[in-house]
Formats: sequence, C-alpha cells, structure tokens
Amino acid sequence: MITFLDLLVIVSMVLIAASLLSLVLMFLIRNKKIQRVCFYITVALSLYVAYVGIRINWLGFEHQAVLAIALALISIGALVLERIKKGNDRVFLYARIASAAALIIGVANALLI
Amino acid sequence: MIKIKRKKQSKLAYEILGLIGISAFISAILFLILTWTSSAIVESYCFDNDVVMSEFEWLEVDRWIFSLSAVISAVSFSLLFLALFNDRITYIRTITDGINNLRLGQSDGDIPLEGKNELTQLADAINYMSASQKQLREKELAMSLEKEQFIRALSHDIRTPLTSILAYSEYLCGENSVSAEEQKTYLQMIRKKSEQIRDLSALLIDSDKRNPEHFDDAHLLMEQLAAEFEENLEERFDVRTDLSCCCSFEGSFDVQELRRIFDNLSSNVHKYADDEQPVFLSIRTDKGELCITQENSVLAAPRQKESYKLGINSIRRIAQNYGGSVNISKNIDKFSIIVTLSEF
Repeated sequence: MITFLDLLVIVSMVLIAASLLSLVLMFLIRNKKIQRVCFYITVALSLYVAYVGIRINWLGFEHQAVLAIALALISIGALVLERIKKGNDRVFLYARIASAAALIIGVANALLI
Repeated sequence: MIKIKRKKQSKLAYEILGLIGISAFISAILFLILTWTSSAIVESYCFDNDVVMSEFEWLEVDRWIFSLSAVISAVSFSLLFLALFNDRITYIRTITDGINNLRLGQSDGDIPLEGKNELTQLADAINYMSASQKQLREKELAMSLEKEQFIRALSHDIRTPLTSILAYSEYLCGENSVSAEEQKTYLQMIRKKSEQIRDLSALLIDSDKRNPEHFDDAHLLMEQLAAEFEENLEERFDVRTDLSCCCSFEGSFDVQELRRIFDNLSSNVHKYADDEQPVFLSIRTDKGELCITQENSVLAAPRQKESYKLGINSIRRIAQNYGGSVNISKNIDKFSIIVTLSEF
C-alpha cells in the first residue's frame, strides 16, 4: 500500500524529472515550436512549485514564502514578455532564462531548503 | 605537388554519439538529484513526524529510492535522446522537401546548410544539382526562344519574294497586251524569286547553313543589290541610290543573306514610307567596314498599323553573322537605318 511518504517522494521525483527535462530541451532543441512548448511547460511548473512554496512556507517561513511569490511573478513576467514580443529571438532567450531561474530556485525553495 | 587539405567534417555518427553522451550525462545528474532529494525528503519527514526506522527499514527505503530514481532516469534518458535525435532528423525532412521541389521543378529556394556532417554535404550537393538544373532550363528556354525568333524572321522574309511572285503572276494573268519579251522578263523574275524562297526554306531545315562566296570585287555585288532595291520600289517611290563612296573591295558574302537585308529594307519602305518623298540608299566602305544606310520620310498614318519588328530583327541577325550592328534612328517624320558589316 502506498503511504503518504511514498506519494510525496514519487511526486517530488516526477516534478524534478519533468523540470530538468523541460529545462534541458528548452535550451538544446533547435525547433522553435518545441522550444516554445518547453517554455510554457517550464512556466507552468515554476508557477506550481511557487504555489507549493507559498503553501508550505506561509506559516513560519515568511521569507521563503515571499521568495516563492517573487518567483511566481518572475515566471508570469517571462510569459508576458514572450507573448508581447512574439518572434523576437533575443527577448525569447531572456524569457527562457528568467523562467528557468524561477523553476530551479522554486524547486530548491519548495523541496530542498 | 600541391596537397589539398580536406576540410575536417564532424560526422553524423559522432553527432549521434554526442547526443547519447549528453542524454546519459543529464540522466546521471537527474539520478543523483533524485536519490539525494528523496533521501532528504524521507529523513526530514521522519524527523518532523518522530518516525523511527530500523537499519533494515532504511536499507529498504534506500533501495526503493534507488530503483525509482533509476527507472525515472532511464525514461528521461530515452525521452531526451529521442527529442534531441528527432530535432536532427527534422533536417532530413527539409532535404526530402528540397528533393521533391527539385523533382517538381520548383527549385527556387535552396536547402539551408545546417551543421557540418554528411547531411550538410548532401544538402550542398542537392543545391548544386538544383542550380545546374535551373541553369540548364534557362539555357533551353533561351535556345527555344532564339529558334522561335529565327523561324518567325525567316517566315517573314519568305513573304517578301512571295508577294513579288503574286504581283508578277497577277499582272501576267490580268494584262492581255503583254509582249513576249515582257512575259519572258516577268517569268525570269518569278523564277528568281522562287529560287530565293527555295533557298530560304532550306534554311528552315538547316538553320546553321550559310553559303558565303568570295567576291574579288564586291562593289559589283553591291551595285546589283542596289539595283534590285531600286527595281522593287521604283513603281511607287523616287529612289535615290548613292554608291560613290563604295570603293572596290573583296570579301566573302552569302548573297542570300544580303538579298534578305535589302528585301527587308524595301518591304519596310513599302509599309511605312511616304511615297511623296524620295527614298535614299547609300552604300559605302569605310575602314574595312561596309555601311548600308537607308533613309525615308515616314507616313503619318502607316499602311500597316502594327509592327512586329520582324524585318529589323532579321537584318540585325544577319548583321551579327558579319560581326556587324544595326543602328536605327526614328522621329516623327524621318526614319534612318545604318547596317554595318565588319567581318567579310
């Protein structure tokens, strides 16, 4: 029978694996369409880990909760930037870097620190 | 001995090996991160909830985390490798599209060259083939156009003696009081024009065929052609020929070609010249060149409204055979053409 601990470990593993894959593919794939899909997945994951970070740190760890809110805002900013300047490669690169940073720090904030 | 240094190419096989290496490296990092974070999560969970596990239970947990991390890493490796490999394989589809375009004759866009492997060489070779095919098509088109222009010009030139034959024969049929001597003259003219048509028709079969003859005194030939020009027009026009500047000279000429030049000139006069004004023809030799100048006044309303410039094109083509050129000047009431022949 799967316990709460098993579920927690499985979810965290899947989350980390999905994050790493989307991050790597977002920068290594040449196809612009797939790059964009990976970018959206990264933004969605970073928003989710930011939400997890806010939930688990809300009571007692306010600094980490504020950091999670800031990361969520960075992710949203990256998405807005990508949507406004669609087709601009340089802006898309900045948006990818911002979303990747938000996801890495978000995962560390929610699961590791 | 010159040594040609071959450009070192990164081979496709090495690239695939590189992709496998990248995928394996990232999967290994993922495996380490997963085992480490999962252990940390379990430890902190146990610490927070006061769960005490025996050494055997810890070993079980570790083995479980190891297996799960290994499975997730293996799946990640496969997905990563397939995604990266598919990204490179997409280039094959671009090349295939390029080949299809080439097959359909739509090779306007070249295949972009990406990377430095065998596929890049293949794309480069296809681009070269595409460019050669395009060049060949353009050459074929130009040749076909030239052939068409030649046939049109020749058909136009055949019409001139044909019109003369019709005119002579109509005259002979209609006029009862034609003397035997006149009849003989006209019949000779008809025969001469028929021979001209026969020679022109032979050119249709063999367009490159030319029959240049050497003339020790080509001045006499020019006199003959000028006389024929005058004869063609004298019924309607006041023709003034000038050969005073034409010295005796020698050269090789295809009489048929020269006759075509003069026929076209007289045909143009018939169509566009004002018959109230004189028509000038001057033939002169200058610095080894032969210049044929023809001038006339232009009718305000020409007899033939539409001009396809077939006659002029025909003259230009013949002049090119002699390394020469054609200069035309035309204003409201005056037309002038200078045909220069250089190599004879």
